[in-house]
Amino acid sequence: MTEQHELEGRYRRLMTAYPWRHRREYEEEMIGVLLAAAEPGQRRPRVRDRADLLVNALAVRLGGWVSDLGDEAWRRAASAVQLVGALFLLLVGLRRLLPVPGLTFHGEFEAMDFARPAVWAIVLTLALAGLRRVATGVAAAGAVVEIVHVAGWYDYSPTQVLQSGWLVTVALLVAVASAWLAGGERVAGRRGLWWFGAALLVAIGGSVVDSSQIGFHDGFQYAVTMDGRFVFRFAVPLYLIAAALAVWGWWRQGGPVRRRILALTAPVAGVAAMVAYGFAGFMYSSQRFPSPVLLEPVQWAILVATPVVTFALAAILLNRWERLSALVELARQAERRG
Amino acid sequence: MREPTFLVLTALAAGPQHGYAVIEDVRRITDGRVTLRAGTLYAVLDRLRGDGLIEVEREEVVQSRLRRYYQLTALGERRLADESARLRQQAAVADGRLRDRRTRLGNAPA
Repeated sequence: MTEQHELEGRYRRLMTAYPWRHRREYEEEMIGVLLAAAEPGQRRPRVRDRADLLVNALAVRLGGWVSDLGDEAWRRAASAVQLVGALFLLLVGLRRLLPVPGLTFHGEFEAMDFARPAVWAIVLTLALAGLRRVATGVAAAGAVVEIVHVAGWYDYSPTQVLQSGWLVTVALLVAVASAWLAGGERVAGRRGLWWFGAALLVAIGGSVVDSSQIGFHDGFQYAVTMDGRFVFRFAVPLYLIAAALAVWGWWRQGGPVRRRILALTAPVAGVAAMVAYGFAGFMYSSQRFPSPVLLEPVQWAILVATPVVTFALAAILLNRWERLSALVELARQAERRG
Repeated sequence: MREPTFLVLTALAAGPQHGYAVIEDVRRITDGRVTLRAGTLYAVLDRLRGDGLIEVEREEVVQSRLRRYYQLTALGERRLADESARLRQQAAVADGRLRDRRTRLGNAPA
């Protein structure tokens, strides 16, 4: 193998850092330029060339992701997540204030109990009115309110904080979606969002029915049996109707938006799964000690990284899936023509 | 407009050039101060093509390798002229202030 072939092979390996589109368009030209600029007898890429290629490859990839995230389907999905998420948080906040038939609430309401639904009601109103920048500011404040609300339990019940991690993730997601939509074109013609609204209202109705039937338990702690006996839960049909309405609302968004909604909400599922499986041992042991065991810095880091990593993985999977689907469609078209 | 972009447009203002020729030309224009590397050059070329400021004039194969010649578009020419005027105007302000300063300091009592 000649020195030039060796050098070319090394440059080609570096070029794999670029996305495929860029390589297809420029790789041959870039290799030609790199070899033309090489010293006679040079076998390895110079450090500065190596760094230049890697930094620019990363910039091209980031630029591609950022421009992909600006496309209309992503913005529609972000808009759905912003509005439905804000409505969900509003109803969760109101749920605490709702009287439950047959039960007397002995606790006292705190300012935070009113602040939570109020802030999400404002976000929802501003987003629907098209005041995007103000909505972003209030949504960020709403996320802080949710974090402060949950953080209040940390010293005596870190388990409760962990179990509320997914709710805080929803609040952060609404804030991020609002910031995403603050600039650029307005999202027009929102479809099917009323179905999500109806689904949430029916689900909250189910939760109220559950509370009055089986007490102030989290409805999901009991399926259809309690203490080994079959219990017909009146709320179950309501939950099923709510799920059907939500799936219908999601389906009506159209394929690309549907997939992006899944990618955007993946962090919520990621955090819930991480808490349920990754922190199961911690939650078990933390509750057994008189003074609860608190989270270590590395556990905090895992919790914070989980939603980011889940979204990145979901976005990469989505990208691969859509590219593969496009190739399959091209092949089908070619077959039909042939 | 960032300096590498300005320099690539300036190089192409002389006429269509391929990638390596642009690197050499930029080195000449800047008296050796700026050496564009391949990664930076093609990031700039890709962006300029995307923005419609340059286009491919022709392609040829030299020693079994693709070589593309890039040229300025009318939009690229206008954008370079605007940027050049802006830089000239700022340089004129800087020159004027330096002249005033030297006059002031020259007249100041020791």
